[in-house]
This record gives sequence, structure tokens and C-alpha cells, in this order.
Amino acid sequence: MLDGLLSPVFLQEAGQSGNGKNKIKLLTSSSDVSATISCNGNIKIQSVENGEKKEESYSNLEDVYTTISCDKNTEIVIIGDVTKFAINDEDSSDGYLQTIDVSKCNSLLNLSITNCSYIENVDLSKNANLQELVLSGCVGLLDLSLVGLENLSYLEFDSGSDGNNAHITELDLSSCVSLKNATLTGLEVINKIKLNNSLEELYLTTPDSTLTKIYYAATNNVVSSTIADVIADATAADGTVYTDSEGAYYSTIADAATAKGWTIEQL
Amino acid sequence: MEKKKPTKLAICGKVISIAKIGEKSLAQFKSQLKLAGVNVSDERVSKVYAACGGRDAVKESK
Repeated sequence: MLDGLLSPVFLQEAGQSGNGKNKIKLLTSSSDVSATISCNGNIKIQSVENGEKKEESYSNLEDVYTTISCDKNTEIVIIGDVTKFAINDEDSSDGYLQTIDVSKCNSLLNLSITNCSYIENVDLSKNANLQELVLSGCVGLLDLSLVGLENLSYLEFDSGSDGNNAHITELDLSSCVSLKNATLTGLEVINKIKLNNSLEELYLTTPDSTLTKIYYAATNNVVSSTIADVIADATAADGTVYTDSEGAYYSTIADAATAKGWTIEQL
Repeated sequence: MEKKKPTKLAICGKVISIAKIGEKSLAQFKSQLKLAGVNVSDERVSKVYAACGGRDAVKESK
């Protein structure tokens, strides 16, 4: 029985990568990368500098600012149980983060990517343990899927200081069943938002967006009032709010939708 | 979310305290790295010093 539990198959089912090690991979056009890292146990940071492979080892870091020098356009691999990873492109010297791969880092609880306007995708489909996610100023993101992030309790997705996101048209938070606090701003072309009912705080602005569809069951007055404001400020004359007529704060949303001429559909 | 300011720096396999970097000059920071056995170029030290919020840092824009 124990043998079975410790088999490679078990490790894969537990979310570990095939070789049993969590990994984060970065590709940067800069000659250095800096990040704040927390980890359990040992981690190794592998990079290439002056054409030679190098490796640095650390143990049990807790909110430690880490800086890694590397050759431009080479990959950095962080191997081990990283629990927090926070990167800000403004901290790199002379280039930009091109890709970040956290899909093999199941240990990640807290991920913050700031001002990385050149990254186009972040695959979070394997980060089921993620509790906090900050994507600030990542205005080049083409898509964002939060499906399966059942432990996510904090989400910050804002435009930062580098313009609005001009690509993301849909955002589905319905499977983020633990999400209590969400900030969603700078979504310039968003047209459909599905919210979850666990939200306690929502800061949502969609300036000049084409938002026409909102899904929310009206269970929280703060969130319902925010949605009412978003509807009132919407530029689209025709929109639809999908909400639950049995929801505690249905009237808040319904009044705003009616005043705007939007349609109300049963969720 | 609370933005916790890092108090430690991991560089070249060493972990050093940067809790009081706001009180240190670049020269003092260089000495601290040297004492810790961190061997990096002056240019790199300056970059790290600035990134960590060193007292006399001048942050260059990319």
C-alpha cells in the first residue's frame, strides 16, 4: 500500500511535476532578474551567465529579495517548493520578462507579477493551491483563465501605470469559490464578467469598455452596489445582467439595470 | 494585500540582511557584500543597492 502511495503516479496526481520537483521558469531579455521569494526547504536557481551554467542554492526563504544575473534571452529555472513568487519588471536592469511558466509549481500560494507588460500568457491551470494573485500592469496578457483556483481568496488584476489591457474580453471568476477580495481595473475591452458569490469586496472599473454581460447572484450588498455603479457608468446602451431574483440584494442591481435600459435575466 | 518589504537579500548563494539598507551608503553596502563573501561587479552592486532601496540610490529608467 505504501509503495503505491509513493509511486511516481501518486506524485503526479498530487500536482508535482514528473520528476517530483516544483519548478518556475523565466525567460528574460534582461541581464538580471529580481524577485521576492518564499520557499519551504531547499531551492536551486539555475541560470546561464557569460555562456556558462550556474546554480545557486538557498533554504527556507521567507520574503527574501533575490537577484539573479544572467545572459540576455536565456532561461532561469527555480527548482523547489516555492510558496511565494513576486516579480516586478521595473527591478530588472535592461530588458523585460518575456515568459513566466509556473505550471509546474504546485506549491505556489502567492504569485505577484507586476509591470511585466511583455508577457502574453500565464498558465495557472495547475496552481490549484494559489491563494493570492496579483497581476498589475501586465497589460500585454492576451487571456486569463482562473478556472480551478478554488483556494484563491485575493485577486488584484489592474492596469498599473502602463495603460489598460486591450485584449481580455472575458473574465470568469465563478469557480474561484474562496475569492473574497477582487480588484479588477483597466479592462478596456472586457464585455463579459462572471463573478462568484463568495466575494466580500469588489473594486471594479471598466473605463470606456464594451461591457454588456455581468453574471452575479446578488448576495452581497457591497458587490451589488459596485455592479450597480458599473452598469450606470457603462457605455453600452444594451446589456444584460444575469442575476438571481432571490438574491438578497437583487433590487440594487435590478434598479440600476432598469434605469440603464439593460435586460435582467434569471441566473 | 499587505506589501511586506523584504528584509533579506539572496545573492550568489548567500543571504544577507538589508533591513537597514536605507541607512547605508553604497560603499557600506559593498563592504557588507564583501564580508559576506559575495563577489560581484561594482556595476551589479550598484544595481542591487538601488533595487533594495539603498539610501543614496539613483534608479535609472530602462
